[in-house]
Amino acid sequence: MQCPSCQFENLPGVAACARCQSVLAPVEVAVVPRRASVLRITTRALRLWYPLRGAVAPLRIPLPRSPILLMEPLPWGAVLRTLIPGWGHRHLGQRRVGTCLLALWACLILAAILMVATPWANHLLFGAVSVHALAFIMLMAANLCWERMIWRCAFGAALGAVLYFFIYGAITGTASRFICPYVLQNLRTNPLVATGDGLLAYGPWLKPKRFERGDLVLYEIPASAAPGYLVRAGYGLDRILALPGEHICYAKGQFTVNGQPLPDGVAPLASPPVLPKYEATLGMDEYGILSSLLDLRIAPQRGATVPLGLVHDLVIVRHDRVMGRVFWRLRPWARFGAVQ
Amino acid sequence: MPGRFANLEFEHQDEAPAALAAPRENPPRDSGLDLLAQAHEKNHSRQFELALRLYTRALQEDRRLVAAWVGQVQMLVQLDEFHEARVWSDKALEIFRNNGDLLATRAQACIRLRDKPGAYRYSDASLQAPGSSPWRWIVRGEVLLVDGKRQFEDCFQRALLEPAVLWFDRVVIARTLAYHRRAAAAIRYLRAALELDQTQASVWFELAGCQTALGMATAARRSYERCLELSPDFAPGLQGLVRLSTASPVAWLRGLWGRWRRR
Repeated sequence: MQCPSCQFENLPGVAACARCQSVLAPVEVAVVPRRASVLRITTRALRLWYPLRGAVAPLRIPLPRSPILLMEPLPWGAVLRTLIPGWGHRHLGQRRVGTCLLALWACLILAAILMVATPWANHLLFGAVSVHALAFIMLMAANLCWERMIWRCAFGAALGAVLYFFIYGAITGTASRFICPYVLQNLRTNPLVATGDGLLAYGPWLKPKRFERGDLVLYEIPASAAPGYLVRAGYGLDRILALPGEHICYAKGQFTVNGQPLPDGVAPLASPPVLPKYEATLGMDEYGILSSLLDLRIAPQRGATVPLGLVHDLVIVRHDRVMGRVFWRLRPWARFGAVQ
Repeated sequence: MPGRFANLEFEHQDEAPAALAAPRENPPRDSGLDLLAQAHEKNHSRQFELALRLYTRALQEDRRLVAAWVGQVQMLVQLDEFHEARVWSDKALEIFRNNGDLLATRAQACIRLRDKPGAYRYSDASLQAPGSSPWRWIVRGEVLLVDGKRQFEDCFQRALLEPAVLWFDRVVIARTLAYHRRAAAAIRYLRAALELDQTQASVWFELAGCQTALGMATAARRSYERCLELSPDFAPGLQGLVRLSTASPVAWLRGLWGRWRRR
């Protein structure tokens, strides 16, 4: 206890200062130690922690002195929470700032999702990444020792790049394995979809082992050419008419499966193209799809007939070329909803 | 004498009944030093919980007893409450800054928590603090022992060369070695303590424990019996003897392994 007269440090409990004999007010000092619980949890945890810390210490690489130094310990709890922008600020008590950041980021993400498969989606996503990086920088601004503007910009750019490629890139890449957006071009007139419609289809991780008759699917059309004909590579959208192992026959605009006409409700989306008579038995991984929607850019020469090989490519689709079942329409907004 | 018995006469005045005597005053409270001595006694006989309470009572009487603060932390360590021992030694160091013995207890708490850097730091500080005591060297030896350095034995020997060394310091060294499973080394110090004082039951008990760890069942039984001769109601001794009689072959093998490794 410090004497108020001569500032000499006396032991607690003494009545008078040992140096100047001034009367000291009595000081209560706790003498009963705090005891551990029966389980001694803190002791056990520390006995594990210290050897671990000692083992890791030699592995730490000493970083060279950099212009951006950490002046104070980072608020790690808030930094980790800033993986959702604004949550870290709310954790530190900056509720208004945190709410604004969170709302702005959420709006940009939602807009990017709705504008998916358009150039706007990339811009909106980039905006969301910028807001996220801004949230981190605002949180760490007090801890960073600014020396030059160039280092501030470099740090911000590096942070944005890390967020964009490693976090958002990973998330969007993983999401695209479940749901894929598509915008089809050059469609023939039909009541279901139009050119420029934004559609969502199930991705490769949700692709079933076998599709059903009548499923509306997206499939790849490979480029092919024949004398007088050219088919450009692209995507097709139509219903599955025949399943693996069935016998199909296409003649005079009529499609039959195993000698029977197609059941009700299972038909191409539009009127089928004019093709010569074709008959085949599907393999175990092949589906019968009649590409009725696409403008296939078939440019026949005068008097030439469509070769059967080309017809085969247009009518029979392998399972691995089927991208997935289409289930949702994003655009136009007037027709936002499930694809029937 | 006041009251109705004021005019009573006795043939021999010294036969006056004791009830007529003036009422006794309140018995004097034990001073801090008395309580400290009692606490040391309980510490010697391995009654750590009781010793801790007596150290606390001693401090309630006199907060300036550094030995009581040191004793409290030592008892917390003996009761395996290492984190609490560290916290309490910090508390004591706030009051007695740069006290070597308290710094040594802090170092012991750190090394029992396996915090080697902290233990070295406080042990160095305790040796650099003014004064010297066996306790500081004992703790230094423990720190080196845990760190795998061979110089721990030198530190223990250095502790026994201190002017203020007591016979019990050998027991403290033995307890430290036994805690870190160096039973063979602990036995040497226990025997040295017994050469100075053969009447301490707790020392015989500790010797029996080390002999049991080395698989020396016969010697351990003799030590337990000697312990119970000196203190028949020494419960840990009785429990140890019972445990020895029901020892498993695994324990014998473990002792053999320890003897082979000379630990």
